[in-house]
Parts: sequence; structure tokens; C-alpha cells
Amino acid sequence: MKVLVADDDRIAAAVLAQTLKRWEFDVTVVGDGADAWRHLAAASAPTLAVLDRMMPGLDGAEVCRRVRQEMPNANMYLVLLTSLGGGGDVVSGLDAGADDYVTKPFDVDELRARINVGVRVIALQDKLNQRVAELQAALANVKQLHGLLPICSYCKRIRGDDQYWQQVESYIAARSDAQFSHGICPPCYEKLEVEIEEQRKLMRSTRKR
Amino acid sequence: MTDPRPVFDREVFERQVGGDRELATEILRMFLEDCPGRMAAIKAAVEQGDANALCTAAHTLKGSAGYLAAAHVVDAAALLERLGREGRLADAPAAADQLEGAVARLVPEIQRASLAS
Repeated sequence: MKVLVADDDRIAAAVLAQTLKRWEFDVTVVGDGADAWRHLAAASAPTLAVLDRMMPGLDGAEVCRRVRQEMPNANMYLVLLTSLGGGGDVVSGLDAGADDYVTKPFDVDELRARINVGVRVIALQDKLNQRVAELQAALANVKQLHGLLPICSYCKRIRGDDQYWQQVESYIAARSDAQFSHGICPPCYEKLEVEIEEQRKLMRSTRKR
Repeated sequence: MTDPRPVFDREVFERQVGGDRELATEILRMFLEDCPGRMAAIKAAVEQGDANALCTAAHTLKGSAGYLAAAHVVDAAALLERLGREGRLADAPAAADQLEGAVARLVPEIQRASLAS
């Protein structure tokens, strides 16, 4: 999983990046908030970011605010790095859109636990997004079978959106997961039997002549 | 009363870097390299009465020293950061002297650790 680390202090960034690499993350390090925002707004953006709360220019909280405002549907887990005793920093950081925070210098076990929470949340959100997409696709199919369908009273063909008249079965098959097996129902079979018998009689009388 | 905490807690530092000797050496080297610049920025901010610059420079040094488990430098830098944030610059020169003393005690310890690693 890709992780972005943003800290203007290269010592803090190096310790954090190495720790995350040991846990098999694919880590990118940047030294300021503007660079962090560029990476998070890119097409192949990391899904997890650890951002220093206090950086020159764009600080970590401001990066969180931008991500939430400009990319409201992005599945991104944002962790802020705050200083010891910076209580107000935590509140304003979470209000700005951070998902969690870690105090500097971080405790390795605590960081691991918090990052694991992030990984779990991202995976859950991914599953949820996938399920929503599946439901939307299913809903789109169902919608196509709703509404007013123009049908021929004689041959029972249906007129589609493209103005072509289609057999009922091909129309429905194209808009749902339904499949058709062809057969003859008893009332039709009776009618057909009568017709066939009449045809036979006609053929016999023709031959006799 | 003297502060019983070590100037540089090597054990805590090594745990912080996950026992990675290469990373530990790199961090110690970075600290020795960056420290003079950080101190110069803090002194300049105090002399110029620039509260914002003092707060930022002291914050960064506090962060770095925190990873090295250098408690005395962390405390002195935290005090300067607070003075900068609150704009209490009258107290800053004394606090900067205190920080300078803490850094002067820390650097030889880091140099020794750096040579030993």
C-alpha cells in the first residue's frame, strides 16, 4: 500500500519513513504541505498519508481540509503528527478532516496500531464502494425494465429506445439477467393441434382429387 | 536540583529507530549536521524579535531532539516555542541561553554515539 509522509523535519521524516518501510509500505516522503497536496491530488495518489501538523506554507490540517473539500469521494486515511501537549492542534486537525493523530515522537507500537486501523478502514471503504457500484449497475438494469413500453398488440414486439421493434424475449434479455427457454403453453398447443389437423385434412383431400 | 534524565537516552533512541543501526547512524549524522543551522535560526529570531520565526525554529528542533530522546533540549526548545507562540519575547534570550547550554551538553554525546555506531 502506498503511504505519503509529509514533514519539514528530515529527521522525523526519515524515522517515520523507515519505520513504515519495515512494515512493507511503499513510502513517498515530501518536505512541505504544498508538495503533499500535489501528491494526494494526483491520479495514482497514496490512500494513506501521515502529515505533520505544523509545516511552513500549507500545514497538515490545511492539507486535510483541501482533501476533504476538493476530493470528497476519495478513499483516503489521513493521520496528523502533532506535538506533545498540543491539545488544540488535535481538535482543529480532526475538525479539518484528519482521521486520526499521532503524537511526536511517535511510539512505535501505537503508530503500528493506528496505521493498521487506517488500513482496515480503507479496505472496508473499498468494499463498500465496490458494493455501491454493483448496486448502481443492477439498479440501472432494473430501471430499463420500468416505465411505459410500447408493445405491438398483434405480434407482441416491443419498441426500444432506438425505435426498432424487437421480440419480447430479446428485449428483456438485453436489459436483465433473464434467459428464455422456448416451449409451447397448453392453450397454444391446443390451438396449434387444431390447425395442424385442419392442414392434414386439407392435404388429404387435395391428394384424393 | 539537577535533572535526573539523561542528556541523550540511547536506549529509547534505539527503540525509536526499531533497532535499525544504519538508520540510527543516519539520524545522528543528520542531527549533528542540522543543529548549528537550527540554533542560528533560533538566535536570529530572538535577536530580531520575530515571534513566528522563533516558534517555528524551536518547534523543529524540539521535534528532532524528541526522536533522539534528548529530554533537556526538548524541554528548552519547547519553552522557546511557547514563548514565540505567545509573543513573550522578553523571556526569550534567557530561554535561548538555556537551550544553548542543553545543546552544548548533547552534541558531544551524539558525536560519541555516532563514532561508536
